[in-house]
Amino acid sequence: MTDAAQERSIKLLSSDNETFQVPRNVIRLSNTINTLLQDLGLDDEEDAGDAIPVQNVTSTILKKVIAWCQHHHEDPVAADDSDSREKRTDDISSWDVEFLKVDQGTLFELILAANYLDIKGLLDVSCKTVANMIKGKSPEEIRRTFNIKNDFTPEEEEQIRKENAWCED
Amino acid sequence: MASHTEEIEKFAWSDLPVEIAPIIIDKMDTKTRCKFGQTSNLSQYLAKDSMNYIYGLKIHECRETYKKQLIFYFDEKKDSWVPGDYWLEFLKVEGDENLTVLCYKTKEEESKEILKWSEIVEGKPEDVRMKYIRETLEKYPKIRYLRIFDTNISLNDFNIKNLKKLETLDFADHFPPIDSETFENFIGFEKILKYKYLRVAGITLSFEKIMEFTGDRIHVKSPDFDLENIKKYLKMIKNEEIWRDCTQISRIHNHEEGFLEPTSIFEGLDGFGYQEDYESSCRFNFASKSGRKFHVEFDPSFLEIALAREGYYNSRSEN
Repeated sequence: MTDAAQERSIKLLSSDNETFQVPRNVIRLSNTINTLLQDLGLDDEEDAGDAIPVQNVTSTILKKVIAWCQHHHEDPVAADDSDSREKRTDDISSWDVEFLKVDQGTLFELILAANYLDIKGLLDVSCKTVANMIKGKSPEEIRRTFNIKNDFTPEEEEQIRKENAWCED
Repeated sequence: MASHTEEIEKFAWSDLPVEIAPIIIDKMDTKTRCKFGQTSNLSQYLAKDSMNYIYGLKIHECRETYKKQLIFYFDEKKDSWVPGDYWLEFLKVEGDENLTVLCYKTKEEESKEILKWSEIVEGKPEDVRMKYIRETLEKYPKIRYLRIFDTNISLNDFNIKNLKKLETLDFADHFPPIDSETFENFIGFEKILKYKYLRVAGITLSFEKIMEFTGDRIHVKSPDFDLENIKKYLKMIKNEEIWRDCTQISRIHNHEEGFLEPTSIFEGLDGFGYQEDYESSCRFNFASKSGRKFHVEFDPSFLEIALAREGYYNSRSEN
């Protein structure tokens, strides 16, 4: 990507038709947008033209996504930790913790948006936040939190409880 | 995606796309994942699926939380997920190229000991791992369950004859396969035919030999594989009550010949439950009216006659 491309802006159009002007070097965190611009040959263009529709993301969520990218766009590229054997959810930065103090619906929407836009850092941190919401809860509490219907028969439930007895407190 | 209105407040786990849930579950620690898996059938499936990717590091975490039972799932294969009432079932020792898994049924204290041993050999060369397996088998000669695969360990490397209590021998994925002659020399067919469970990729047994098998499950090659012999074999199964009790016949898939009319094999035999076929073999699951379950599996190169009766796995744990 050229310096000029780094400095210019991209227009994004939310699903509810709100346009957002985003610096190119901020939205570079979205692999979906990067790929789109490259495929259309617009990555080095001075003017990327019309707003790019982000059909699956509402203006409210897109605004938050852009805010997250704005804050993190200068972060060093994280090493791919897909091979990491250790699962950690306590490594969320304080800024992200505050950023993700939202209602559950918004959090889920952010996950969906991060997934659609392929923003790995946001997807990672938002999924960790959901995992943290589950941590320490009993199965019944998890059901209530996430509206999960208990479709086990009493016998199945008892069997599963026995199988998982080792993880009881 | 829903607009950011009241609708959002109704978001539930089921609103997440299928590809997202595993990502979240992957972030959970083992304990949280177990709790999550207890919430619904789908959650259980997702959690178990994710469990397949618990790696060696988790040994430490599990050991700390160890109480009444210990369940480890180290292999990527779904069928390795064998919940037991207690104890370690699988031990993974991962090297540069090969994966060695020693499946060992043991008592609680011994499990802990083996876990310590796993740290010694993890990622070590093949000869170190072979030494580990040999020493383990020498230390615990009364094991009943032995499963080793994806390694070129030789029968010369340990004295399997000394395992007097062995009743399950599973070398199905051993590579290269242990051939019949080696097997005969080291163990002898007379002995292995008395095991409860025999699964060895390399050995070849005639139908006559297979008929001598007295255990619950056998999976070996047969030079006599053809539909007529399968039919003959099925007819010779001693416990005819199983067949009489079975209900309903569905179509049968043979890898080489496509779908067959079930009666072409099971003519004269009362029916059975359902079948599922997959790429290289076909497996028939049977459920009798009296509640017994078992399956028979046919493959162009393998014949598995499995009288895996309901409760078989449980009885293994109880023993």
